[in-house]
Amino acid sequence: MLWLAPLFPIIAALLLYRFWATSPSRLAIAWSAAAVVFLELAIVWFAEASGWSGVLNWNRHLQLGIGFTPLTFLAALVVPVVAAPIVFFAAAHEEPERLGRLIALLVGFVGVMQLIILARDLLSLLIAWEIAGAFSWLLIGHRFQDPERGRNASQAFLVTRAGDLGLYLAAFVAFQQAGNLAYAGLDQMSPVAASLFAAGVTVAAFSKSAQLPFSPWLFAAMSGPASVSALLHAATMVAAGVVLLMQLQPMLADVSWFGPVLMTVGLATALAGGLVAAASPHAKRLLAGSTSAHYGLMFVAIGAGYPVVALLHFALHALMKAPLFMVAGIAGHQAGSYNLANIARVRLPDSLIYTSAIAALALAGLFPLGAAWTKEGVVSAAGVVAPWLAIVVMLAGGLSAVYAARFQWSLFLRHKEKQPGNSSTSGPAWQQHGPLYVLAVLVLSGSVLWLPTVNRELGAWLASSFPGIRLWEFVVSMVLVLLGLFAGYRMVTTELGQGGRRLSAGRDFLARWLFLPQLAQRFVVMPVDALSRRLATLDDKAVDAVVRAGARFALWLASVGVRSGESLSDLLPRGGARFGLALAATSSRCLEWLSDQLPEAPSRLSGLAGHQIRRLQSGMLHHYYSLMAAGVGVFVLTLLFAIIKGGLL
Amino acid sequence: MILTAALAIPLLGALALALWTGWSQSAARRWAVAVSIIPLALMALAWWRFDNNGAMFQLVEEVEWVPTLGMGFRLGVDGIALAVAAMSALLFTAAIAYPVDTRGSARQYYAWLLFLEAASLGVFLTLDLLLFYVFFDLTLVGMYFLIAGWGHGKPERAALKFFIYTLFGSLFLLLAILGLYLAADPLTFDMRELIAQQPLAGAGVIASVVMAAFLLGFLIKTPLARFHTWLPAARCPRRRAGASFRHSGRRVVENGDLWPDPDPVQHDGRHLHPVGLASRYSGADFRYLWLAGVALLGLLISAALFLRILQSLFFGELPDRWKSMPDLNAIEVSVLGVLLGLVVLIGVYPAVLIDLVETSIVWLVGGQ
Amino acid sequence: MPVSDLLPELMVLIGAAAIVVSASFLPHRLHWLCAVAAIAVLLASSVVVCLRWNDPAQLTFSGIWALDGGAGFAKLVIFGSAIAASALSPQWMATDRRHGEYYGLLLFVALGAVMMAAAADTMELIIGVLLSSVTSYALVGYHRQWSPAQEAAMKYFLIGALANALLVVGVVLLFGLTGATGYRELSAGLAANPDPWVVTVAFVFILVGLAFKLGATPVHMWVPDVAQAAPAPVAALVTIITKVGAAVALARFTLLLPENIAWPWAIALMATVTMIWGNLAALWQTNLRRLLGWSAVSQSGYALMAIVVIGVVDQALAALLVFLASYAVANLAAFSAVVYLRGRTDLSDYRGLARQRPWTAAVIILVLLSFLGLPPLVGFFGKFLLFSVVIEGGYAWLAVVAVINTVVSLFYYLRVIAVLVLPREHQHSADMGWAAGTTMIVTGLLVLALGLGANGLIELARVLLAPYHPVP
Repeated sequence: MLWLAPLFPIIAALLLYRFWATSPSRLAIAWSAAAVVFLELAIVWFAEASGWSGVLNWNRHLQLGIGFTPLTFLAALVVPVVAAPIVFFAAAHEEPERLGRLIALLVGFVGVMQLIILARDLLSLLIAWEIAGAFSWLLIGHRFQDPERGRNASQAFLVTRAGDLGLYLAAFVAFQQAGNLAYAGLDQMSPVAASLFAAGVTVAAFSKSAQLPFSPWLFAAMSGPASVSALLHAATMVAAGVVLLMQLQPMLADVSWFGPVLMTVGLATALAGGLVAAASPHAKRLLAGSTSAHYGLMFVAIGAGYPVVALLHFALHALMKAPLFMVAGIAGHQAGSYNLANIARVRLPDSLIYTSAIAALALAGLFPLGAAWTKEGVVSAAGVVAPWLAIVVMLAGGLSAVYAARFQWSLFLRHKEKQPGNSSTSGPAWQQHGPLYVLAVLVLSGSVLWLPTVNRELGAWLASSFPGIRLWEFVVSMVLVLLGLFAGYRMVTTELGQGGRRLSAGRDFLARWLFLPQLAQRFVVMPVDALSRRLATLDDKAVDAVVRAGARFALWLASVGVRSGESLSDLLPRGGARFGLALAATSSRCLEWLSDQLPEAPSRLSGLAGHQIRRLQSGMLHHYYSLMAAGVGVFVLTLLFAIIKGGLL
Repeated sequence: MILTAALAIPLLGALALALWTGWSQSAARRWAVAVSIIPLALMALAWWRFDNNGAMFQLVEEVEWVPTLGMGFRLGVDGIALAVAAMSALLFTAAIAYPVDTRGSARQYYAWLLFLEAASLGVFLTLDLLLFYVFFDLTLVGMYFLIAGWGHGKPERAALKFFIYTLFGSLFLLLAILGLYLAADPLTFDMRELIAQQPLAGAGVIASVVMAAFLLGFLIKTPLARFHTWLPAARCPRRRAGASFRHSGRRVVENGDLWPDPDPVQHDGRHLHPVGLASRYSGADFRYLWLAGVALLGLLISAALFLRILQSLFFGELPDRWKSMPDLNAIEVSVLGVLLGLVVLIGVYPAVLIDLVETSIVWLVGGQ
Repeated sequence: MPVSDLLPELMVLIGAAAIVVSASFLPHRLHWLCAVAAIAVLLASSVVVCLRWNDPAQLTFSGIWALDGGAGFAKLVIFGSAIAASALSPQWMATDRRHGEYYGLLLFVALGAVMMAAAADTMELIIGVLLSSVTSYALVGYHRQWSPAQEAAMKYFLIGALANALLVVGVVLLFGLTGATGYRELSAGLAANPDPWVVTVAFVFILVGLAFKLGATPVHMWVPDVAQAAPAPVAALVTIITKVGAAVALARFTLLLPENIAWPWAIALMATVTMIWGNLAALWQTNLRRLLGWSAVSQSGYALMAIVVIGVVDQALAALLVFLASYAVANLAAFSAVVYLRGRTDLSDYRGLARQRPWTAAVIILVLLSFLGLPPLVGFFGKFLLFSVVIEGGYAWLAVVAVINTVVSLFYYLRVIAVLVLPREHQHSADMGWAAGTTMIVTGLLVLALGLGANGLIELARVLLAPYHPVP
């Protein structure tokens, strides 16, 4: 019965697709979509209360199972809660063209995410995981008329897929070890296998949750509409990695490197993402950087052994990130661009100021908002491992204050003096703003977490404990946040003073996410793409491709040689590189020739021989007689040779 | 009788098309569809009758053909053969029902297609090694005429190439079969008998040579088969994807090699996400982890390929020349719908297939 | 009673003489009756052969004439082919003034081939070879006004002259060595005095002499010319029956040879070269009859494969006979189609035949696929048995060579098939009438029927099996 939880949104999306695609009323679409997601919430609630679970047997080894744990129940609740306002907003805000498809995909995605959360075995997880990748591809490439978006969608998909291979690896290992894929059997693995398993899972989680070095796919993902970004970042796609590791953490705690690696990468991502966000001139990319930074913090918490903290931070992050993306969407729509400098010139609806401010302050982690409590939780969790780690986390928190402030003030500074922007194609303002208010209220109500009774109750309910928040940590943290807010404000004012001046080299470097997207493009997307194209032609010229690949490789080697020859021209004589290049070119030509010849040559050869042999049919008797004589001679010689060789004489 | 009928009915249908010249285009097509549904129904019946826990080979039918050589008309199925034969019957029905430009010779086209169906089913259903070879070669003939008659580009050349390559493979197959046959005592082509005898067990080099010849035969058959050449141009763009899959290491040698797939579209479809997850585990053994690693790369590469296809198919503005292209009609939609429905069904609930195949696989790998 | 042992041969001989005589009395328009007579005689002889099927193998006429399974099977194939050739001829020859005698010659050719197949004596062998040669020279040049026919006959004759001379020299050498011509004595003599030098030379001469009749390299040059220019029924008959007779004769002869001669190597070499030569030369042929001729050469090469292992594998002779029978049926069907189409030879004339005359095209396609060895046609079983005995005899490499050759041959067979199915605008053309048409259909059906009923054929060949082994 629990299958209803993941399937309901998907089936509903399929059934309602026609209605959504044809209905002229945005309001009807918005309400129906939100209603589906709310129903999903109700289903999850009811399912947990009635103790539902779901099992599907594939064969005697493979079994799909889903079920609840306290952690996953909470996560399963968060997803529809955040998604409902998002789909409502999407219906109200996005361009009318192909709106039905967008809504259907968003609603369906909720179901897929539920499957990721509820999965109790790696097989169900893998299925959902892959479908999530496919959905994200569809959503990011929503505006398909633009080939650039197609490329971005592919990049996002390929980068995450590259990480997904880790999950496959993990599944192989688990299956080999346990004979099935259920989570329950995972703790009986041998140390080596567990290590391998952990590596696979970690890589997969990093790639989905945009940790270094996979982070940049988030930039590519910005090609999608704002509501898509909101859903992906807040509740679904990016969350998958955290949700997965959060559940597997107890089983992998024995792997010695697991915690440290998670914390290192998480912290590095948090700092890098923070810097990127602080430097980015693009509103959505700013938010993307912040997303990866905050997920980095969640990984720190998991690595420190407090998955529950990560879960709560995920929940509150979802609540605050969704409205921020919506605000960015509205602003970008009105300004016609997501560039913060352009956005700063238009006047946004007044009512947005406060909602946006609440969410931004939550992002900054300012007391007494709930997000601040969970962030302090991460700080304390890191502090449990080592105090200096706590300080680094605080620094990351300070950075998030910087970009949160930057976001807020870029949008709303000197608000009254600006021109209203263009809002012709969207629905009425209240429909777009309504979901924002709802989420803002939720963010505010998250503040109750600071109440000791509340968080104690929560801990009991989740059957976990929270690290105690130490006073000095809290004080330092808040000071850093305030400093960060101020720094963000200063940045905005100086930027406004400078006008749209070119970015400095350093900021450019940061804003482009340390050039990681380019690196990913070069080292993941392009090779895979090229390889796949090569392999595709393999069918036509089996031998060809291998040989040519060899030639390519030689050429590549040579070009590397040339490049290094240029950069190290003092040490390496260029002649060597040139020679290499020439050699490669020659060999490539030879190899290509060879590859052309291999399949064709025998047939050509026999054809040629056919011509020659026919020439012997000359009609000249002496030819024939000499042939016969030669035949006699050959046969005699053969036999004599056999006699001599056989020693029969 | 089920299996014999499944072979005989398409053959008779083909004969009817070949012998009587009065068929109109649409009548020929309707006839072909009607005829091709029968083997499909028979396969379903066989599936229903098949006992998952029964003997390895079931529904056995045996008639002596050339008893002096130990060759007989022996039909029977194990789980794998039944699954692929049923799938094959389905694909043939789909391929026949799918509207195609037959270039004014619908009668011949459908006759050859039915002939090919009979031969392909024969390949899967036979229990006699020599009979297998017979059907195997008959598929070559069928394919040759289909490619030569209804191919694109330079069909005759493609057909010639196809036939030469595959005949080369199939003759080595024949030599291998002979090697196996001559080692058996008493001489027989009965697969059950051969399996029981294991004539080449411990034969060392000879066994290796025979195995190599088998492999050569199958390998040549698999990657060089150019099914696409006779497919309508509309479906050509998908070809490369199909091709890549053969290399992605996921097509297990087994019976997959013998799959005379008439329609790469569906071929691709079989691999579409999320299907095949189950099958991917077949290779998961620690010893062959590197193999699994290579296969993993295949996953990535196939993803890239599909993205390329999707990107070039769906992104960007619609070119003018395609604006007049009609959408799929009802028949096309229903054919594709059935196949895609199966893709999803088997993907979501593969037990239907796995239960059937599993016993045979366990037996094949020498398990319990 | 020895004379009655030769009843089939005698019937053919007397029948031939009677036909020649009666042809001079009959008015020209009734000469077709000679065809009927020839068919009747051949049928009667075949019946006699069948009646004596189960008699024990023996030598007769002082040991010069073998009455064994091999000879019996060869007789059936030869007579059958001659019947088909006679049935094809009446319309073809209708305008020829010497129509009647033609059937006499046909019967003599058949008789010569039968003598070769049954010879258990070298002199007998020579007589058989010469009889079939001399008469077939005349038959090949029957269209004497047509220069290609003259050329073919001349070529055939000149090549035959040298080859037959070599054969005779070889026989003489053997006689000089052992003082015997009968195989029984020869075998004993060779065992007693196995002088390898003389035996080698004699064997090679005899081999080359028989290669001429087989159409095997290096004496194959007459085959394409004869196939192209001889009257089509004659072309069919000559390429088949001389091959059948010579193959059986060679198989019989090789068994005499002493151990110290590596004759299988020489024959394997000949088989290989013949296959390759025939196939390569056929590759670019644009003339269908010539192509059939070259294909006949390559088929001789395949047939020789069985002779390579004749001494070591029981089934070798059976394989040889089944292969020859399958070749005979397919070749007859092919030439019947050519005759039915009034002897059109140029490949381009066959364009679009499949639309125009689907049945004729179907027969040609079946035949070519049978030559290729595609199951379930009769050619498949022929080739299959060949491969199987060759592998069993330890000559697997020969099977591989044959496989590669088969793939090469596919190229030109498919070229013909492709031409047949190509589209072409309608053009009407006459055909050769019901007799040729019926023969074509019957032989075409046989290609399929003997494949489906291969068991009978193989059984037949197997039961007779082993040629009469002359005990030293």
